[in-house]
Formats: sequence, structure tokens, C-alpha cells
Amino acid sequence: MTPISPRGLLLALAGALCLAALAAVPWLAGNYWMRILTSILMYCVVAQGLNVIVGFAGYHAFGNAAFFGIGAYALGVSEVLGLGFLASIPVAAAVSALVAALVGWPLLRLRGHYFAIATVALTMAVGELVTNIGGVTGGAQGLALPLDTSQSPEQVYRQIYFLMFGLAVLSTLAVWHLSNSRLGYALRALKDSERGAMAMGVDTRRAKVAAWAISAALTGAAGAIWAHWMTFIEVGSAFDITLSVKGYIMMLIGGMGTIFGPLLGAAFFELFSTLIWSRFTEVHNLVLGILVCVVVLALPFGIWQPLRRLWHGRQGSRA
Amino acid sequence: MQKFQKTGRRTVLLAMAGVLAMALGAAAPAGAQEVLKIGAAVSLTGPFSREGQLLRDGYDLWKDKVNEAGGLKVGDKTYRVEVVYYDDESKAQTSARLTERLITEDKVSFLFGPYSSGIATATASISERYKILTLAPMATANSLYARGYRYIFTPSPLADSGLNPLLALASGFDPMPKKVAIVGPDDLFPNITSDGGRKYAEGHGFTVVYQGKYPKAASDLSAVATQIRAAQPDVVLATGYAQDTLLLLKSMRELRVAPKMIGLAMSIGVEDFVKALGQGAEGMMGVDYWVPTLKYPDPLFGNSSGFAKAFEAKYKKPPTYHAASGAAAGVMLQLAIQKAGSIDSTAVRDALVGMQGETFYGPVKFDQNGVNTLASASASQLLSGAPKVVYPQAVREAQPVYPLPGAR
Amino acid sequence: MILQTIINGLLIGGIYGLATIGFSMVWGVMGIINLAHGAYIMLGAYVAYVVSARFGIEPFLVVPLAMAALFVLGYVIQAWMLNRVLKTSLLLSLALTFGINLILVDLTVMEFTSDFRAVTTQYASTALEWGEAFVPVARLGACLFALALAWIFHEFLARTRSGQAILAAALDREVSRLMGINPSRVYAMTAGLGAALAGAAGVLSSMIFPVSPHMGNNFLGAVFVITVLGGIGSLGGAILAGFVYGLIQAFASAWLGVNYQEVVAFTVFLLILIFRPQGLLGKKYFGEGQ
Repeated sequence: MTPISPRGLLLALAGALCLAALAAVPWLAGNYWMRILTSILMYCVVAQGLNVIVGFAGYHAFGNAAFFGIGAYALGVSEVLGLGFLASIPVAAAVSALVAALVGWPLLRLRGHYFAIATVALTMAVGELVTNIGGVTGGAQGLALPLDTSQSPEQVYRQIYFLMFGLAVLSTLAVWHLSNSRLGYALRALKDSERGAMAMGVDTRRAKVAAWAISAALTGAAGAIWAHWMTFIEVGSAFDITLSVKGYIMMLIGGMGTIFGPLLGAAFFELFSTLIWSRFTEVHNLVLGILVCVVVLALPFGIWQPLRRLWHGRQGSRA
Repeated sequence: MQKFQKTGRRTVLLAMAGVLAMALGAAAPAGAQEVLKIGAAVSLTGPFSREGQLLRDGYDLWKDKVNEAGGLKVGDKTYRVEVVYYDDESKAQTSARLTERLITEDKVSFLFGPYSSGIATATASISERYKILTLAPMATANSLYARGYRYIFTPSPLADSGLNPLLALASGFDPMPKKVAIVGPDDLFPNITSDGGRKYAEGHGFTVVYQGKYPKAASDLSAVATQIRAAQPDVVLATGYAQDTLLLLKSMRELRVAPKMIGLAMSIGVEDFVKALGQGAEGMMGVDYWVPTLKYPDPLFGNSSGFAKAFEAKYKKPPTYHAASGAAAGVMLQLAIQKAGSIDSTAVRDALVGMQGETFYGPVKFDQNGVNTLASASASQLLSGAPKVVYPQAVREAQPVYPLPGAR
Repeated sequence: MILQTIINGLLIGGIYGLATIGFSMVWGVMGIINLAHGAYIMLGAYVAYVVSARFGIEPFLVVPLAMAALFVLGYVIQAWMLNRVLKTSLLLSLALTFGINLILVDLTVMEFTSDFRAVTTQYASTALEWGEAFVPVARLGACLFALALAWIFHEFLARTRSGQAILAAALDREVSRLMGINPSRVYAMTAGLGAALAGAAGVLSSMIFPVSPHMGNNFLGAVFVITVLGGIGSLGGAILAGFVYGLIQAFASAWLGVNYQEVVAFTVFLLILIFRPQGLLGKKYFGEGQ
């Protein structure tokens, strides 16, 4: 058993403090900050979801927003049909995972650019499909979720905050578990060289599909909680490509393939975005665009690596 | 000597008392001017910007008028009215976010609703959750008022009756047109209006030969125009908004679709819409919830022409029913607040239910669901470039022209 | 009605094809998927709006101006921003071009507001008759103009030195470098030309569609599908696929209802990607494994 270094202990303590602080937010900070943090935690989940398929498997799912939307609508329809909020969340996650598995089977055969573009097309196609099915999904008019007026707004938002928090922790644990598991090794192998992995006997197809299903489940759950939060969803905002791009950038900033990278990226980016939105409501797209450009040009490999190098000093980074 | 001293002391005391009384009287604020904040997330940019801006102008005119008259008197307090506006960019989700911001950060006491039922559906959930009264004069989809929400009210007629004035007018023509085509974007209000129109048409001797929808943000409607042409209707009714209707009419003209009557579920009086149509706008019909020639009395504006004059003086253009509805909503809120004697949202909401009265917009009586059971609409036609009311008979300004010149 | 549908589809397809050429070339030559391409089209339309509304000039005459302006924009963006990202990861270009798109669109919103504008011409509503169908004059003119521009570009690629350099870089990046072709210059050139063609398409569209800052998004969806359908990097493919796409949309609208045209388009897209990723005229190795 390797002895725990003082650095490692410090890190663990910092982590625990963070968690405790986050858990106490509803009582420490006001409603305004709680809402911002809920949003940040949601993006943490989305970024971790992307981390699984992009960071580990190396398949750039630029259109992962499709599963966010599917999760949102699955929850919406489920609530409209009578199933409660809490019970609907796993339903939404399951539906998203199922779609990913079904669609992933053919789509994951594509490589590089083609896969990325196919996922974008998927997002738009599913959005259109939901619009055209109409009926219980509300179609182009949007879907209004049943409103529960028995709880005060504060109670509702607190519940949502904790759900997002729990989901963010869950997704990070999932990624951590993945990195030490067989599936994780298989994914890393096929990211390096798919043919090599196949030659080694890895069932790459199943691994990829499994990764995408996990990614979809996490993203779908986030979408589900988001839908309940918004109480009214429509195709344009549920299947918004911007979500994918933001998640992507967050993952990039934080560092792909790492466990905590996406969290950092999400926190930083979303905090920045929110501050921009409240200050520059008129030109927030412009500022966001500039931010994206700056990040991509300046930090194409994320900030986690340079940070780690800084942390570990002359010892160099521990892979 | 002693008598004089007693008198003197009393006088001084009285004088001191008098001065003290005056001082206290002067120090007391002459009717404390507190501020009543009302929030409005409207579409100032985006596809609904024309209508959204008109609506905002209406809200703003009401606010100015109330403040000019000294403010809103509630009980023994007088409030200066302030309206906080945000641009929702014609997007439902943005409107909802802004509505929440208005309630939780700007701490508004009431809300003025957005333009479009779709957007209002998103914001209604927020206002209902926080129990803040919303007056939404430009959100008329039936579904909004069928959900049992208690805090959303509209003085305008509901969407499903949107095409009725046009169809009623058409049924009076001789020979009566038989074939009707109904077309509009796939959105809440247009869909309800379209289905409502279909039901009315079929119940009054018309045949609906085509009922179609196109995507909200479509940029090419030549396919729709092609299909309309193939159906060869006598009457074409459009349920869309200014922007897409413009596109539709242009496409129809390009492909030589020329029915005997063209009617829109929206107003034909929006200035730059008419200009953008150019030649060929002549004879087009529209539906109005309000026209300047109505004669109803109003506690703030006097009557419709008083409102129209005030609007034109401030904005240098004639008002449409969008603006009128906004100002009238303000008047109704004012009446309800005064009836309730408080600015508590729930108390005012309860005062609004069952309140019966008149504003320049028309008679009003709200039911439990927030619907104005006395609302009605009229139809106008563009004649010699100006909109003239042609239906109902009672408020008719000119004889309707039918069929359109150049009809095939 | 079938004849009318075919005409509708072909006329719009011509413009879509022109709009796509630049996008397809950029992807084929340097593997960059330019999400700001829609913004280039939109800016071309605004150039037409400003010049035509202010000076009353015939929109067709504005095309060279728009092309020049967009060429500069495309060149500069490539040289200063995208060329740097090429050296790291090609997929970062997606994020970068997304950011650029946001910037361009928002700047336009700030300058012109989101209101819809129109470029009107004398012949805007006139149409020629052909059998039971009508051929709107504006659309016909725009389509023919688009094809002419495509032909000119084709000649440029085939006969000039710069054109050949572009084709060479598209075929094989490594070897072309060995042949003494400076990839950075070629890329910037390609990007500039791609933007110029987009700008031209924008001017032509302004005569038919309403002009607004977000009009680029509608185009981008179509451009994607047409690029893949025609074969990435293939000019002929882009034009051919443009027509095919226009026809598919027109018939989908006619038979299934206008609402379904997007669904059909994306379904076709996904099917192509799965069954024939090289499209109609493309070569298999473009964009793969990069």
C-alpha cells in the first residue's frame, strides 16, 4: 500500500471542503448564487458526459446535446403522463442511453469528422422529429410541464440544486471508476489505435457503444432535471447545439480524459458566461464568441496540464 | 399688569403651539411617492419585434398617463409607476429567464405579458409559481387559460375565434365563396386559430380545401404557395405573424396565386407591414381587437380617439390594437388595484375576477380562468391604402370590396 | 403541380450549390468545417441590402463588391486564426469557427438589429409561364448567375496556378508541400475564395429570401448535407448535390407537408453518412483519419 503523500492529503482535504461548501450553499448563499451554481453543476455533468465519449474513447460527439434534449423531453412527457418528477429522472436517463445504443451501432463506425458531423445532424434530426410527432410532446408549441404549486419556489429550487449536485458527484465517480475499469482501458486503447485494440482482442464496437450510452445517460439525466427546472421546454432550447459547444469548450479548458478537468472547465466557463450575461445582456453572444476564440487559440490542451506541472514542480507530472 | 402677563403667556403658548403645528404639518411628506414596479419581458428584437415594440409602446403610454395624473392612488398612498423592460429576443426560454429575474431581482409587483402565446406559456409557469399577477393582452391561446392557472389574465378575445370575423363577413357575400384555404406557421397561436377557423368554416357552409402549416423559421414558402394554388381556393386565410405572412404573400404573388379574398388573423394596420407589401396590398383583410373608431368610455384616456391622439403625439405614428391592448391592460390593472385597495398580487388578482367595466378597448368581465367573456373582434380591409373597418355591421366604416381585383 | 415542384427545387438548388462550393472546398483542402460559413452568406446578403437600399443599385451588380469584401474577411480569419489551430487539432476548428460565427452574427445584430430586411427589385414578383407552372424571374436569374459563377471558379481551379495549387493541396497535403507549395498561403487563399463564393450566394439570396442576422443558420444545415452528398471537396459534386437537395426538399414539402422538409433532409444526410460517406462525386479519403 503506497503511503499517502502530504500533497495528496492536502488535495483530499481541499476536495472534501469543496463538497461540504457546495452542500451548504442553499443556506450560505442567496437564491441568485444557488441558481448559478445549479447551472454550473449541470454543465459539470454535461462536460463529464462528453469526457467519456470524447476524452476516453476519442470520438468527438459534437452533437451530444441530442441526449440532453431527449432526456428533457422524456422527463416532460413522463411527467405529463402522470409519473412523478423523481421517478421520471431514471426513465429519462434510460431512454437517452437506449437511443445512444441504437444510433451508436451504425454511427460509431464513422471516424473523425464524419462522426462529429453525424452527431450534429442527429441533434437536428431528433429535434425535428420531436416537433413533427407533436401530440404529447407539444410539437412546435413547446411542452409545459405540470406545475406543482404546493411547494414554494425556494423549496423547488433547493431540490433541483441538490439533484444536480448529486448528479455531478455521480458523474465524476462514474468517470473515476471508468478510468480504472476494463472498459476504461479498452477505450483508451482504441483511442490510441483502433486497429491495434482490435488486434488485441478488444471488442471495440461494444466498448464504443457502451461509452456513448453512459455519456448519453448522464447527459440525459441533466437534461431531465433541467426540464423540470424550466417547467416549459421547446425544441429550440432543449436541442441547442450551443450546449454541446459549451460542454466541449469546458472539457477542453479543463483537460480531456482527466477526472476533475471537466469540473474545473465547467466552473470557470459557466461562471464567466453568467457574469457576462448579467452584465452584457445585449451583447452576450459576442462576448461568448470572443471567449471561445480566445480559449481555443490560447489553451488548445486545457489548463489542467499546465496546472499539474505547476503543482508537481520539478518532479514533473505524475501521469 | 398681572392680567396682561397672563394673556401674554397664553398668547405666546398658543403662538408656539401654532408654530409647532405648522412645523409638524410641513415636515410630514405630502402623500409619500412610493414606486410601484411592473415588469415586462417583451420581444424587442427577433421575429416578433414589430408587434413586441408596439405592445411595449402601449404599456409605456399608460405608465406616462398615470404618472402625469399624479400617480396611482391606492388607499391613502400614491404610487409612481415604473415599468422595467427586458428584451426576450422573441424566445420563450429567454422570456422565462427574464421574467424570473424581474420577480426575484427587480422585485416587481406585477407583470405585463409578452407578445405571443408561445412565449407567454413559458412565462406563465414562472409567474404562477411565484404568484405574481400577469396581464397578457397579446397572449390569447385557449390552452393558456385552460390549465387552471390563477395569475394570468387577458382582455383580448381568444385565439380559436381569430378567423371568425373574416368568415362571418365572407358568408355575407353574394355569391358566397365556397372554398377556403387556411395556412400558418407551426406555433401555438396560429395552430389554435387555424383549427378554430376550420371548425367555424365547416359549420357555416364553407369547404376547407387546404389546411397547412410551415415551420416557424422557414425562409422559403414557395412550396406552400404551390400547394395553395393547386387547391384553387376562393378565400385564403393566413394565421401567422407579420414576418412570415409577408413572406407568404410574396411567394403567393410570385407564383400567381390570386384568390377572391385574402384575410389575415392579424391586423392589417401595422404601418411598415403595409409598406413592405407595396402594391398588391390593396384589398387585403385583417382582424382587429380594437379600432380607433370604437366609442367605449375610459377612465384614463377618455375614449379610443383620446388614446389614439395621445399615442400619435408621443410616437408619431397611428396606434394598432397591439399598443391599445397594452395600454388597456394597464388601465385594467389600475382599476383592479384600486378596487382591491392594495398592491398585493393575490388581492388584486381576486379583485380582477368578476370585475366588470369598460375601457377604451371595450367591455371587460373576467372569469376565474382569466378570460374576458365580453371580448370581441372586428375585420378591416385595406382600401386606398388605409385600413377601414368592414365588419361587423354596427361599426362598419366602408363597404367591403369583393372579389379582389385580379382574382383568378 | 409536379412541374412547379421541379422548378422550385431546381431554382433553389442552384443557389444552394453556389453557397456550398466554398464550404466544401475548405473542408476538402484543409479539413476545416467552417461553422461561420453561414455568417459569410449572411454578410453577403447584408452587403447587398446596404448597397442596394442606399444607392438603388441592381443587386446583381453588387456581387463583385460582396465577393471582394468577403474574400478579405475569409482570408484574414484563416491566416490569423484558423491556420494556428490547424497545427494542433483539426477538431478544435469546429469550436473556433463556432465562436467566430457567434461574433459575426452578434456584430450584425448590433449594427442592424434582428429585424428582417428585404432587397426589392422591379422584377421581384414577375414570373414567366411555362406550361402550367410559373418561373419567378428573380429566382431564375439568381440560379443562372450562380451557375455562371461556379463555372468561372471551376475554370480558375483548372487553369490558373493558384487554382492548381489548391487542387494539389486538396489531393495530398504532404506531397504538395514537397512540391514547393506553401500550405498556409494556399489555405488562406482557399478560405478567402470560399468566403467570396458564400458572399455571392448571399447577394443572390437577398433577392429571394428575407435578410436577417440569423439567416446563415438555415443555410448551414443545407450546406452540410449538400457537401457530404456531393462529396467533400468536389466542386461538381456541390453543384450536382445542390440540385438534388433542392429537389428532395421540394418534393418532401409537396408530398409530406412543408413541416417535414427538415426531417427528410437530415434523414438523407444520416443515410449518406452511413452508406456512402464519399457522396456522389467525392473521393473516400477526404476528411478521414485526420
